[in-house]
Amino acid sequence: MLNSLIIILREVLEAAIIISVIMASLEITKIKSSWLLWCALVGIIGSILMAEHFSVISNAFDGVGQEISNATMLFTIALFMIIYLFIFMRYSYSRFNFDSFIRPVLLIIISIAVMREGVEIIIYINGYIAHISDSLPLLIGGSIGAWIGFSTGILIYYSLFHCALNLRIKIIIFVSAILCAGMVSEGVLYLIQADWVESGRPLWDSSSIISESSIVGQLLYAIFAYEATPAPIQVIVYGVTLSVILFLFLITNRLNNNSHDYSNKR
Amino acid sequence: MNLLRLLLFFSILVANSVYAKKPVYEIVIRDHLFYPSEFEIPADTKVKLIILNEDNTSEEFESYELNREKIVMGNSKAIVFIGPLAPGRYPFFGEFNIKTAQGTILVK
Repeated sequence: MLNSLIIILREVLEAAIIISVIMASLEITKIKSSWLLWCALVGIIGSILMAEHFSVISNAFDGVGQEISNATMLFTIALFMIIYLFIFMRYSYSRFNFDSFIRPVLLIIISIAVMREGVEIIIYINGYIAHISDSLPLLIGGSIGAWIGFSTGILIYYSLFHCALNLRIKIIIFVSAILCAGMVSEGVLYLIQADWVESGRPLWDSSSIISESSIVGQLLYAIFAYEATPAPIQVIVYGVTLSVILFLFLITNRLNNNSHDYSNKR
Repeated sequence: MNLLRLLLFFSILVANSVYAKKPVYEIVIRDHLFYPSEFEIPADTKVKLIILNEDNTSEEFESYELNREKIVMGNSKAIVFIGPLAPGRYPFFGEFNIKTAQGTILVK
């Protein structure tokens, strides 16, 4: 029961963090939060289809299709989150009307984030729980895990919502930045697992200080994509992604300072 | 001419290192257990791990120490590349059956 709780919680939590941070940003970009429900629905349908064809996906690319599809999804989410961040930072200050772009960008981010986690949940339930005789405790455990995951997302959303707008904007940018960096680094790890990228010796080994299997390690993994033994290339892409977002932040700040606030003119 | 030979030599060298056959190891999942549950691989070498799942249920091969995570569907196989690794013990487990599906890779 505890095992199924943790499995489902881990999957739900990752998507819940992304969705709650984006939800907290909607006040700026003037999108109704009901749009996110549609995005999530597309993601659920996508994960059902993907789970159904999972064997085909796994066997693609000489047996590393799972890694390649995971890496592709992670890179896509990160890329579009950076695009969304840019729109988010510029929205109130730019004469340019971003409105027609925001919905598709959000659709890509949310649906893929839901799909990625949804596939694993469906495979766990369909390919495992459905096959064993006494599955009720596992289903109860899984439901509790999902509930904790959702609640954490709601908690993050409301904590952000009660922050002053200026602080909230800064937190959203910071959290999105570390989420993006984490996803790019995790994506590269999948490419290493697929043998498309060389791993090299781990840059450090902090497993004796914070083990990845510990609760602290799991939390750090969910937020910062913590690895006790990261490959050098993982650390590099993490730093590069953070730098790109920092650069974008500095540029938009400069642009914003030179332009009017258009937020009330729409 | 000499330059051409040198280029040819290096291209063969590179091609060899890229396409060099990696040692292959096989593990079987049966009744939520790994067979063998402990085996040795050479240090500083990339190896190809083939995981055959003979159960009807799916499993997730996972290891924090190896930084690996992969779903293996029921009655099918999966490929995972690991290494090059420093000598040591590297535990792995099946996430869906963490109580029984446990194993260790010894790197020597």
